[in-house]
Amino acid sequence: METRDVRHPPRPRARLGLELRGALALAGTLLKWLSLAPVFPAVLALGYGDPVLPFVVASVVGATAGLALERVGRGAGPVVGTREGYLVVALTWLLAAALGAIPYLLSSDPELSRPMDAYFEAMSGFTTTGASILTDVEALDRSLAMWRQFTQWLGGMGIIVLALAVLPRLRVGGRQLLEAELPGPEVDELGSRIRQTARRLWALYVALTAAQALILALLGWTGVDDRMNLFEAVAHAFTTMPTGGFSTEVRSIELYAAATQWVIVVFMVVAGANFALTYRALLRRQPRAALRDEELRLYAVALVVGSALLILVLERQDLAGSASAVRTGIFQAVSILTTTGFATADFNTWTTLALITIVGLMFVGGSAGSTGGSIKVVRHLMIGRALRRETRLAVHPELVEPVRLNGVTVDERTIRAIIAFVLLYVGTFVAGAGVLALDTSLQGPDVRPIHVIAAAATTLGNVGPALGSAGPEGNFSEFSDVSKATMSALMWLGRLELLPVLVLFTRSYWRR
Amino acid sequence: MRAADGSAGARRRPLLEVDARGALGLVGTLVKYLALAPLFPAVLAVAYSESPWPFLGTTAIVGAAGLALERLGGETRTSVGSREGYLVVALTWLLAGVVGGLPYLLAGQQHLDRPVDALFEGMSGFTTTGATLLVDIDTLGNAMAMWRQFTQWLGGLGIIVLALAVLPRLRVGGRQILESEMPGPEVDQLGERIRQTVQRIWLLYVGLTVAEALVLALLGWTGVDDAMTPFKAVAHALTTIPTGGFSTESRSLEAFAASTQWVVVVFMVLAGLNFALLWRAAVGRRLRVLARDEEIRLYVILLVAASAVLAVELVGKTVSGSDAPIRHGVFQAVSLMTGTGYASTDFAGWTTLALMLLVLLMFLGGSAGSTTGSVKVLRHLLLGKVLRRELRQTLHPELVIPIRLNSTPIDERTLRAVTSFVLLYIGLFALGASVIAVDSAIQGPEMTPLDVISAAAATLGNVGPATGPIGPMLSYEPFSDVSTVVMTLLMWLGRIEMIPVIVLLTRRYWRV
Repeated sequence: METRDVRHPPRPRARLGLELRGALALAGTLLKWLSLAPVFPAVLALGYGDPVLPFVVASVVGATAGLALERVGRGAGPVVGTREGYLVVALTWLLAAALGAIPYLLSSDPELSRPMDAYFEAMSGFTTTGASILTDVEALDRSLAMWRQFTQWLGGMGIIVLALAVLPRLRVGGRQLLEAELPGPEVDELGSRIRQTARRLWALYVALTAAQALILALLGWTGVDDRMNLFEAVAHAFTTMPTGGFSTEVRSIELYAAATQWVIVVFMVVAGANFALTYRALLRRQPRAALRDEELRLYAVALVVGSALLILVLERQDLAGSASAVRTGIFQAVSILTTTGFATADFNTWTTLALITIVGLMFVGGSAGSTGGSIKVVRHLMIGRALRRETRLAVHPELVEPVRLNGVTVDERTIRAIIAFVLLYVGTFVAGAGVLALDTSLQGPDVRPIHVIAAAATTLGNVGPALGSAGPEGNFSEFSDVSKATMSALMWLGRLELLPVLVLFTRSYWRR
Repeated sequence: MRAADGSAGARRRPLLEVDARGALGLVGTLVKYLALAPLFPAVLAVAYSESPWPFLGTTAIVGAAGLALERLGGETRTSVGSREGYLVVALTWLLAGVVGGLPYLLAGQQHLDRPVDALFEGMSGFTTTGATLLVDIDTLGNAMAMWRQFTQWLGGLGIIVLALAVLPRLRVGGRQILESEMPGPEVDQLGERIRQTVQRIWLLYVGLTVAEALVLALLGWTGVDDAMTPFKAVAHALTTIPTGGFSTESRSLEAFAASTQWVVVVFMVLAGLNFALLWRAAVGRRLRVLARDEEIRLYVILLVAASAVLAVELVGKTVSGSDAPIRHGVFQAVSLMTGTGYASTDFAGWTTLALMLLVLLMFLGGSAGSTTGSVKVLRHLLLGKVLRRELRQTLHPELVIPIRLNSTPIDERTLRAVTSFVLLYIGLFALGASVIAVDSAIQGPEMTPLDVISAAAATLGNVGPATGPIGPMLSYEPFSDVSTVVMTLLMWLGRIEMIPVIVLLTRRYWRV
C-alpha cells in the first residue's frame, strides 16, 4: 500500500483514485476517540482494586496509534468518498479489535495471554459475536469482565452507524433499502445527515440499555432473582442491545431466574428489530406504522416458527429438565435468530432436529436496521419475492414486474445486490467451513461435521456459541491458532457485510 | 422432444392458456413407448427361467394407460408449446417413476412391495439417482436386477434430450447457453435440428455404454477380475454412463477388483462431460475442443482437487479404504461429484473432513450437457463470474461489464436465471432437509445432522448414497413413508431442474 503511493506520487489522481492517506487519517481519528473507551473499566478497576495498568496502556497505545495515523493523512483532502469508505470501515474494525485485545494481553489471566486468543476475544467483542475462548469467565477480574461486555456495547454503537448510515452509502448488499426509513432531517448533506441519524439512534440505544439494566437490577433488588446485582444487570444490558451475547457467567443465563430470562428475551427481540422502526414506534408514536412493516412481520413469523420447532423437540424428548420447555425453546430460538448468543441450556446435547434448527436460525439473523448479524430477514424476504417473480417470468418472459417492499418498488440494482450478497454469504460460509474442516483434521480438535458447520456459521453470522466443545457452555479454546484466525476473519467479514472487505481484495480497488 | 416444436405456434394462440389436453396427449405418447421397455427384462426372465409376468403386466398396464392418455389429447397434440412443455416434462418423469416401480410392485419384491417404496425405487432409477430401499440386492432375480439397471439407462437417454433440447427451450436455469453448443446441421428448422442432435448424442451414449460393457467383460474373461461376469459388466455399464449408481451388488463396486474400479472411474469422468462437446471431440478427433472449454477445465480441476484432499486425508487413518488411499479417494470423489453414487469402500465411516467434502461434492455435479444432476459446474462457473463482477460494480456502479463464457458474452437474462436457479436449489435443499429432520425426529430413524443434510443433498442432487444409516453399503429402508415420499419428490424436482415443477405450482401458469 505504502510503496505504491511512493511509486506514483506526482500523478494527479483521477476522480475515482483511492485517497489512501485520507482513509487512514479517518480510521486514525476513530481510533483516537475509541481509545477513551478503556477509561471506563480503568475507573472500575480503581474501585474494585484490580490492576489499572492494562487499561491505561490500552488507552495510551490506542491514542498514540490514532494520532500517528491522523498525522499520516494530514496533507490529504478532507473528503473521504465512497471508495475510501470500504477501507475505513474494514480498518476500523480491525484496529478496534486490536485495541480491545491490549487489556486482555496485559492482564494476569493466563487464558488471554496469547495474542491470538486475546485478539479473537476482542474481535468477538467488537463484532458483537459473543464467541469466547475463556473456560472460566467468572475467574476474570471484575473490571476486565466489564471491559469484555463493554466492547460489545461499543461494537453495537458502531454497527448502528454502519448499518443505517454507512453501508447504504457504500451500496453494500442492497442496504439502500434502508435509507428511506432513516429518521433525521431530509438534508442532502451526507455528513450532517449521518451525524443526526446516528445521534438519534444512539440515544435510543442508550435509553434501551439503561431501561434493561434498571429492570434487571430491580429484579435483583426485589429479590425475584437472587443472583442478579447491579454489576450483572449492567453487564448483561451491555451485551443484549448489541445482540452480543457475552456473559459474566460460565453458564450464560441458565442460572438466572425465569423472570430475568423473560426480560432478556423481550430485549433481544427489540434488539433484533429495525432500530429506525423502534424509533418511529416509540418516539414518533407511530406504532401501527411500524407494525405494518413487512420485514418486522416476517421476523416475528421466523421467531415463532423457530421457537415452535425447539419447543416440539424439548417436549418430545423431555430435554428441558426442570426448566419449562416453552421458556427454554423460546429463549434459545430468540437468542440464536437475533444472533445474540445467550443460552439458558446446553443445547449441544439436544437431538438432531434441534441442532439443525439452531444452525438454520444462524443463517436468518435479525432485521436489517438492527445490531443483529447474519443474512438478515429483509434479504430473505426479497430473495423470496425475486424467486417468485423469476418463476413467473419463466412462463411469461416478456412481463415486466417490479418487486415491492412495503408497497414501494425496489429497483433492480438493489435486488441484484441482495442476490449477490446472499450467494457471497453462502460461498464465504462454505470456504470458512472448508478451512476449519481442513485445519481441525490436521491440528485437532476432534470435531463432528455439524460442529464445523456450526463454528463457521456462528462466527460468520456473529452469533456466538457453536456446537461440540465450542457449545453454549463450552468455548473456542481448543481450536488451533489457524482456526482462531479464520474465525476472527469470519466475524470481521460477517460484521461488515462482506463487501467492504472483499472489495479490498479486488485489483480494481487499488488501481485506476 | 416434440414439446419445443410448437413454440412458434404457441405465440399465435390469443390467450396463453395451457393446452392441458395437448400436453397430456404428448405424455401419453411418451408413456406408450416407455411401455416397451419392460420387454427387455421379460426376455431375460424367460432366458433365466424367472417369472416374466411382472414385466409383461407392466407393459400391458402402461401401454393401456399411454394409449388412453393419447386419446384424451385428441387432435390438439400438434400445438404443444413451450408452456405445455413444463407440464409434459414434469408429468413424464413422474409417470416414468411409476413405470419403473410397477414391476417391483407386481412381483411383490421384498422391501418394494408397497406403492410408496416401489415408486421411490422407480424414481431413483429413472432420475438416475441410485438411492435404494433394497437391503440385500444380491437376492434379487437376474431379470429384476437388470430392470433396475435398465431404468437408469433409459433415464439417462431421457435426460440427454431434456438437458440438450428441452430445458434450454423452456429457459430453465440458464440452460440457454447450451444451445449454441449443439452439434447438428445449422438448419433453422427447429424440430429437425433437435432430432438430429438427439440422435447423434444417443449414438454416443450407446457407444460409450457398449465400450464400457466390453472393457469390463474383458477384465472378467482375462481373469483380472474374477467377480466380473458379462451380466455384471452390462449391468454396471448401464448405470455408469447415465451417472446412475445402481449396482447388482450390495457392496457396490467394492465387490470388484481394483482394475475394474479404475475402468469405472474413467467412464464416470466421461459421463460427467458435456455430451455435445464430447461428440464434437470424438467426431472431429480433436481433444482440444474439450481442453479449451472453460467448464470442462473447472470440472477437471475440481475433480483433481477433491481427489487429492480425500487421498491425503485417508493416508494413515484407520478407516475403510485407507489401504489404497489414492484409488479410494479418486473413486469416491468422482462418483459423488458426478452424482453416480457407486462406492469402492464404505465411506460412511470416514473422518469429518472427508465426509464434509463428500457432501459438498454432492452440490457440484458434472458438466451441464451431461447426465449428472445437482447444480452443475457450468452454473458454479458463471456464478463465480457474476459475483466477481458484482464486487467490481460495487466500486464502479456505472460500469457495464459483460460476462463471457468461452469468450462469448452471456446475456443478462441467462445470468439471472442461473443465480435464481442456485438460490432455488439451496432453498429446496433446506426445505427438504427440514422436512426429513422433523420426520426423523418424530418417526425415526436416528440420524446425525450430517446424515439429514446428506440425505436431502443426495436425493435432490440425484447422487444416491448418503452417510450414516443411509450410507453406500446400506439402504434408505429405515425411513418412514413421509420421508420416502419427500425424497422421491426431491429426486423428481432435482432431475428436471426444479423449475418445470415449481412453475406448475404458480397460479399464473394455469390462468391468464
